[in-house]
Amino acid sequence: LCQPSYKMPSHQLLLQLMKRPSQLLQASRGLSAAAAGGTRTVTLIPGDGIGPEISNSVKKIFAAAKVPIAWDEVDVTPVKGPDGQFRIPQKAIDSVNKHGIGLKGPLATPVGKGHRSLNLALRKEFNLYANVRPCRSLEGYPTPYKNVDLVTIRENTEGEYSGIEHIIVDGVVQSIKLITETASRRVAKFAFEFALREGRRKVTA
Amino acid sequence: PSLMHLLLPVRHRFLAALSSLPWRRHLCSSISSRSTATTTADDDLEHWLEHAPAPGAELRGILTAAKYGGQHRVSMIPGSGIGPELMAVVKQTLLAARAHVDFEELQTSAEGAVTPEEMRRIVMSIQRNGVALKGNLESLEASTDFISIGGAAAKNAQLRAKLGLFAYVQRCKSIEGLPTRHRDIDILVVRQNTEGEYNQLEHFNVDGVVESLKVVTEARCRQIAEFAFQTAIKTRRKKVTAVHKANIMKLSDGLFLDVCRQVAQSYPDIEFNDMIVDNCCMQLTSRPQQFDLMLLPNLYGNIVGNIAAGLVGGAGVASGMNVGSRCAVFECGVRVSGQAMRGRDLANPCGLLLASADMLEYLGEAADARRVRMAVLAALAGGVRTRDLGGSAGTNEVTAAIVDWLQQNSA
Repeated sequence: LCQPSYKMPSHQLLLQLMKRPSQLLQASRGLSAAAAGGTRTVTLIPGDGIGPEISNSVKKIFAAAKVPIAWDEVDVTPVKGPDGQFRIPQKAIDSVNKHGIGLKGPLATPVGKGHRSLNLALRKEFNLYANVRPCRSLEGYPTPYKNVDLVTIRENTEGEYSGIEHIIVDGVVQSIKLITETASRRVAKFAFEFALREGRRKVTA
Repeated sequence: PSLMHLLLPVRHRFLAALSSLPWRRHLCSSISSRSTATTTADDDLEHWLEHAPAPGAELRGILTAAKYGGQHRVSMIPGSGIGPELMAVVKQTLLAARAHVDFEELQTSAEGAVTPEEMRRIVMSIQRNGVALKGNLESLEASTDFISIGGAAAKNAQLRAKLGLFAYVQRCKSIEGLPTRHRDIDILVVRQNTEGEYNQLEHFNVDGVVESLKVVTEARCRQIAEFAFQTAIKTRRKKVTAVHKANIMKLSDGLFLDVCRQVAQSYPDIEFNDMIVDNCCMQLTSRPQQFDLMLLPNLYGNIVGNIAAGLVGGAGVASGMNVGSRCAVFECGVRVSGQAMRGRDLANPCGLLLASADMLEYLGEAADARRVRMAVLAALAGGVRTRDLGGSAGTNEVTAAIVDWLQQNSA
């Protein structure tokens, strides 16, 4: 999801990220609204733990910098649907689909039991197949490693995170890591196009 | 006393009798009282040597570890790449150290993967001798052309599975005089060695969809957790950290975590905590001094072990051992086949030499193990290092320095 310091993705890329054609119009509408000097609305998911505090900080900083962004705050805590299954509230899903961009705080996942990862659910719901993390050394903050400037792009929907697990017999558990050619090709294509766009010389798989 | 004699296994009785011999006591005391001729701080060296991770004679079975005519018999598998030249260095060093070890060499084809017949011979030899020193066994490159690969599974994993080497122990300690970004690291990585992601159970569901099965069993988790806590007691470590990803893989890593927590309750004197693997990796690169003994499943152990080795100087100075209930295989902590470095006097022998020192300790030759370790640390502290450690010496130069030290400080 969008990071404040990250370049606004190109129009073409945004089209690829959207899964339904009706959203294309909304996305382009949103972009042209920003280009025309209007305010862009962005979904804000504060999250758990320190999430609400840091989201507040972001809102204040953006307001002080007079950034033309309006926040649509939603809560993604799962609610019980009519069929008894826990789901992300429809309001949150509609909000992200409408605005096309969201900012998310940390969402905790209980260890060993409890509901499935909400981060994973969000990624699956909106088909966010590539996780992009730029890592750059900060000036004025010394660490043992100098001049770090790398970007990790991670396949975000499958693999070990498929969530397919079974207890075979008592004391034997099986977890399935699922890899598909479609997803691998998709994220690889994204990675190379990203590299070209950002002027990166090398891709390490 | 007579009843105890009947109950004690033959080997232990022999060792007990041996330790009472006057010449052995003299040997031990003379080594410890002699001042080292190196620039390493004595207490740092003592700390390094005292906390050696080798399980030692008491973990071995009665019938393992062949010994003929006073010489321990050890299987040596040079493997491919830089393996053969480093094994020659090991033989030279142990000769200079006058260790009572004979090597049974098992050659594998230099090019290409190990054949099933060679694999069978290797397994049989290790089962017979009980102890082995190993280079890297070449596996075929990963490929989707499964039909042509046939039964050629990853050889190193296959060896571990066949010999029942359920634990991998890797010691990563900062070495005095070796410049690294982090200081004062002393981590013992204990990794489950046979199950989890390394089952090599993979299949195509349909064209373009592959499933890889990760199987985790309670029995193996309990075995590795018990081993880890026993090792912690033996090496006088205070804290065990279990590493997992049980928030995503709730059943499999959840099982691992549950079992570790249960076993931890039987060892109330040892502090136990757990950490999720992504946070653990971040902590390792920012503050590695917080870790003492790390207990991990197979794949995370591989990755975290490599990170820890990289923090203290890299593949050249980490040593690892595969431990089973009946045998043990010692090797370089981080396996680098080094095809590019072969024959060019570039390979770093220190990792394998430290592994051979661990092997001597496992065989019960603690004095010889100390001398070999001291020799390696002396060479590193004295600046005789290969290129991967920031020095300019070649393999032969490093070997000569170590052999010289051993000959000057002979028993």
